[in-house]
Amino acid sequence: MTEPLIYTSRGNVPVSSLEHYIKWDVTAEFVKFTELYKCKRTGEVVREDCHVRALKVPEIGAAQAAMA
Amino acid sequence: MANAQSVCTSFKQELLQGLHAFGTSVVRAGTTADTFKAALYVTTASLGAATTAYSATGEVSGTNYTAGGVTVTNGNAPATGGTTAYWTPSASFSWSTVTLSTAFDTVLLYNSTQSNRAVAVFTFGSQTVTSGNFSLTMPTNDQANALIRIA
Repeated sequence: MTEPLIYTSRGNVPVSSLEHYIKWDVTAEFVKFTELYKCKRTGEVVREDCHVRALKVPEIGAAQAAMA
Repeated sequence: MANAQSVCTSFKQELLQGLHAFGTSVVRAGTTADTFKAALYVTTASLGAATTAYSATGEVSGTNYTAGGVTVTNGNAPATGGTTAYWTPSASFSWSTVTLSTAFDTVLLYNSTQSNRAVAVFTFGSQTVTSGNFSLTMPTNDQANALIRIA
């Protein structure tokens, strides 16, 4: 059976040689999901992915007409 | 100096001047819709309401990141709901297998057809990416949540 590999800064490495971490950041403006893979032996971050979902961004306010 | 999420003041004026054309068809002399792009900036780039155009100063750099950013997929026509006009790109902004080691927190949406004029600055919290994928998923395209809303 072939061992699952993942692409990292060290090339393709076995997933089993890495520690996997996830992090969620939730604000009123966005939700962010981050995945980290660290080498078990050295602690080096060899892969980091991030996905952001925008929820609410600034809008352009209503214009006020003025006629002198 | 930190970045500030904002719709650029110059963009508001340029809307009134008819300089930006969102959508799949154009109601003006030209018949081709403008191309918009999204570029990423480091946390110290100082983008905000005073930003008038794309600049490479403060833009991220790294493996598989192309200066100028990615082209925005523009499949939505601008729409209205109530008294609000709105528009949202029809696909996420994404960068594949990139390494961006300097912390970044901002994306600048700009009009590459119209001299790279700035549209808006959006922030999402400091981040790095290592040999991975970074994506920005758009908000719901409606009058309350669209990426660009004119109330």
